[in-house]
Amino acid sequence: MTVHAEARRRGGELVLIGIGVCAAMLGVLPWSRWVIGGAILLIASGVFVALRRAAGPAVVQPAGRRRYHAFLLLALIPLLGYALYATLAPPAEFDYLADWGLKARAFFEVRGIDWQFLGRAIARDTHPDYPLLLPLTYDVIAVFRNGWSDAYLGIVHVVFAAALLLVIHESAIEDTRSRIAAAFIAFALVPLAATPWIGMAEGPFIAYGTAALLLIRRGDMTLGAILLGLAASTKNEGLTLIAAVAIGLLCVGRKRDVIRLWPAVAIQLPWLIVRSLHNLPTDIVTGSVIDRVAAHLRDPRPLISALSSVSLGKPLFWIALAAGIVIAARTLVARERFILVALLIQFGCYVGAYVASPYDIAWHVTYSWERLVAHLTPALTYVVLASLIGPRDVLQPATQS
Amino acid sequence: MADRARLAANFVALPYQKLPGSRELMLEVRARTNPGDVIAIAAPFTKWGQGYRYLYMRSLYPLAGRVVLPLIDEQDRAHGGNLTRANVIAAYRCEPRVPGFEVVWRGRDGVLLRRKG
Repeated sequence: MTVHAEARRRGGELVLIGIGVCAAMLGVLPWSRWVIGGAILLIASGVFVALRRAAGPAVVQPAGRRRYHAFLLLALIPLLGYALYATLAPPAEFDYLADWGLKARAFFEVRGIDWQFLGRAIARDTHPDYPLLLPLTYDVIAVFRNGWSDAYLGIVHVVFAAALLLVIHESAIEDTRSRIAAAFIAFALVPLAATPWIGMAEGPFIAYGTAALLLIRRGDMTLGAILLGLAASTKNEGLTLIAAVAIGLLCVGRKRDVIRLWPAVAIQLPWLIVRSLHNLPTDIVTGSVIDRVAAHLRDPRPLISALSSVSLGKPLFWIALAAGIVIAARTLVARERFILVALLIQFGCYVGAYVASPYDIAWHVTYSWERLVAHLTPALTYVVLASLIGPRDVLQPATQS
Repeated sequence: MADRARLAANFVALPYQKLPGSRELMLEVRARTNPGDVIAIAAPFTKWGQGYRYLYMRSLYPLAGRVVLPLIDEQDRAHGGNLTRANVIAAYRCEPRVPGFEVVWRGRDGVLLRRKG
């Protein structure tokens, strides 16, 4: 395989990790376009050399290229539509104005991470404890523009969605042994990768989290663990995802792979330490957590009522997904236990967060449930589609470590 | 393309729609203040959850780089003491009379006061 082919095969991972590296550079380097640009060039050269060394034998091109390209084109059309939507106007979500975009803009004003700003945040909506990958990504753009502008900032979300779809496409080629089936799966997952919440961290988190799950699922531990660490650097939910992945690996007998998740922890650890040093509070663990959990467990009706009253939308999608799970149940249980367990644990953590919530349950569920469920659906939909479409004789790439 | 421009304008106005003119006011305040200024947000609301949070949280982004102080907190407690820390008051649809401050700009939806001297 040529460097070009290897880069294309790893394109999604390279973009996702590249964004993380660019954001991390703002934590250690001066906020100058020349310094950051030079560092990016240096790192890109290193990646090029590494890809040359990693380049293996050429892959066989399966037949059916015209239909394959037709499906790829089909996947591009909704992605282009998403780009039009995402860049229509500056991000207008409240969470962008009160949290992700606010931090980015406040940091850019002082050309650095403004710990004083985070420390004096008086309203819970600013969430000073949230990890900074997304605000710093916005700042990378501002550094290169040499000024703050939120016009076209939504393009960041299009890049994340496209990168995830590349990862999905490559995984699907391995799973289905068919480029046409892989292009179809990528096309089918466009609406799940292209989230409607422009400016918020859901899209980037879904991209990192789903890509990590798919790579770890097939035994690609180093890249998978790095992406998992970047997911935890995007949203706090990534911390529970690391635990969920570890439990999933244990459940399928991949004990040694749990140790190989260390990059995920190593990536996230500096932020956790700095956050602790600056005493940035996490709302979910403030006050008496045990009392709240006990109260909600004693009377779970408000939680159940809130969960049942919030619409997740897309009824046809949920019906199709449920039907797919039923049809592919045996294959899923036999081959996809890792992902199913990891998603189940993560789902349990989300419900657990509601049980420990210091806020009004109805309010908390109303404004987060749809987004939390959206974290899990791309990976679940992927394994259902791969099980339905993929050949029966293809075994899970990484069964035991 | 004309529809896209109109849609974009609607998108930008969407987060501020419950308090018309508040975005424009904060943009004017930004244009008339400097990084590092300490700005207190005044409004005709007495409860955090009944208008004040809406205005205060949405003022932070356009006023990034300034220290933006509330005069009411999440528990509906008044924080008049923040006026002593502020050198600027951005007042939405009200005109507070605060000793030591003078009106330096007046717009359709609010006024800007600055500490004298």
